Amino acid sequence: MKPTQPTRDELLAMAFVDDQLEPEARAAFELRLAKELPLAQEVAALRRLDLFARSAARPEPIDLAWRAIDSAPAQRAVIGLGWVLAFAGSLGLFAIVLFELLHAHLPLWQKTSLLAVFSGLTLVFLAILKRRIQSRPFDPYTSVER
Amino acid sequence: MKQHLFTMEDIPGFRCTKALGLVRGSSVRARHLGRDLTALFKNIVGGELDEYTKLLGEVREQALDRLVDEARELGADAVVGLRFVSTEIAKGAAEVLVYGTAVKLEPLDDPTHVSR
Repeated sequence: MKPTQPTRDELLAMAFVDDQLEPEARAAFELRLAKELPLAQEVAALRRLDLFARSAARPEPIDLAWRAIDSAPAQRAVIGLGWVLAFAGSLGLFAIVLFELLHAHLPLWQKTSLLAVFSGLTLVFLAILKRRIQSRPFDPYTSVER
Repeated sequence: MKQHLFTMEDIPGFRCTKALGLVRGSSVRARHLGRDLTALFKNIVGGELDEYTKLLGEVREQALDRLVDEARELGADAVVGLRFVSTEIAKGAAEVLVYGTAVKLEPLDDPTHVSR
């Protein structure tokens, strides 16, 4: 298979990450970075590679042992089942609390206030979760192992 | 040009021609609740909490990159007297502050000489 040639933007991104751009070119590239998400994603991917090269450590014996243990089907099944049960139980508890709240003998204003707090916190959490999921590709530091 | 980072103040083979001032970088990061729970169980049985080893590595590299960005803005060749400071802001989060002095360097004719 014939290797593809890097595009001009890819070459610019490489030079930017390697700190090889002249100050004017760097400033212009930084302006583009703020506006062009695919370019920012390309820079994040290159930074991830740079970080990997900088922080990659020789695997220690315990790393190999952990990998072997964690990839064993029985271990994966037990841990997976554990997380599913814990997550399902948490959702169930959350639903019970909401149900009890709605059926509690409380004045309407108290029920409304408590429901507002619950709903508000849930909305804030969901917004923060969405922010994290969407910004994760731009965070190269998640690739650092130690 | 990539900035060179040194914990020492005097760099053998180079003379410091100009001190550009303090540069620093900091970062606070956390793992997610799932990793915190895994680490909690590992805490009970002992051994390395690799979730937090990774967290410390992430926060260290990000803080270093921010320091290097500041040094580059100043036009520095190197950062000398580099120091790391770590503290705890929130449970399960790690903060690293890294600081040093940005300098301009010049190679010496006699590389055995130590800069002052």
